[in-house]
Amino acid sequence: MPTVYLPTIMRAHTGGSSTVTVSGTTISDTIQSLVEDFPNLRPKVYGPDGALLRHVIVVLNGEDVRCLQGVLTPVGDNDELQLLLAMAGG
Amino acid sequence: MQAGTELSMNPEFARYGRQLGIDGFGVKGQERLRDARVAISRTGGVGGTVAMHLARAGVGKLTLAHGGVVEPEGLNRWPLAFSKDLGRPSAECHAETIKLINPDVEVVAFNENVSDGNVGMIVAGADIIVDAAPLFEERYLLNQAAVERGVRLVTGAMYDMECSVTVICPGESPCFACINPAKPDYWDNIYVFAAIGPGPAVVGAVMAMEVIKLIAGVGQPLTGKLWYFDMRSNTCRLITVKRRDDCEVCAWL
Repeated sequence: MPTVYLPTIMRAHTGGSSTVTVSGTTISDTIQSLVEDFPNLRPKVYGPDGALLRHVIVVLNGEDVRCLQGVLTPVGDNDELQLLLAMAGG
Repeated sequence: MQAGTELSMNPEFARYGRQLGIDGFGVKGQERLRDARVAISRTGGVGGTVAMHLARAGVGKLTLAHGGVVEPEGLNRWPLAFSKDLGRPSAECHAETIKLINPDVEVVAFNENVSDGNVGMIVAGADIIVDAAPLFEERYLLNQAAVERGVRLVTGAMYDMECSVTVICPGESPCFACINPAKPDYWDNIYVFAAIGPGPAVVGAVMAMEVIKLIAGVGQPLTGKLWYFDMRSNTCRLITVKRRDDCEVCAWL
């Protein structure tokens, strides 16, 4: 199952873990599995309309998925998905 | 005699002797730094670190922009301000410290944060723009200004112990808006992010090195790459990022 690496702000909802393992064969259903396993993450990932929040950057094996097939990008068992939130700390 | 030793006998470059030996840098690189102007906003934990390193490295002209006064909560991470400066205008203190570090650096200081009304003035004449602002609104303005002028932008940020840096070459790489099409709704003031000294220091150091690489023409800049480092979990990633065809800021290029 793919690994999901989470930003600091989400780790409070995974027992402090920076990485979790969830099921999924595409970006879309992997993220869906993530919020099903950790329901408190849902509002941090999806907007009220059910769409992925625009400030959430999704990375697959080091590549922004917007460079690939977006949320339809296939995900394999050994893949790493990273959720990266836009930051502006200066 | 080693190259660094010989070259450091030139009084103009005496203080830069150790860096003249950096592979591919040399006197030519030092001259390029000397002749460059870099605009930095803001100059707190991240931007102050950038300014400090660029001054030490010999960048000839720095424009610093930072509004308000020095507050106690900045003292845990601002390299350009000290306890004695509490209550004083930030940019004024930062400029003073830069001149102490390297009197040869020409410093122009604006005691203002970037806004619609002043961004043009702040980035005027800059060869490189450095974005170290704690608010997305300011970052988007700096990005817009860089794209409109075709000036390279080095942007870096942190949150807690997470760090990120990328280099924006307008028309070639994704711009800030390509990568961050929207700001988080919770990011509505400068106090939303926790920060302890080494975090902004690391971001600022990487950004300073990117500026030096760009000006001197050495190494591989982080163009089209987002460098990410989480100091909490020791996770480092080099993320490939690309331009968005529908970017409202740079798609026209």
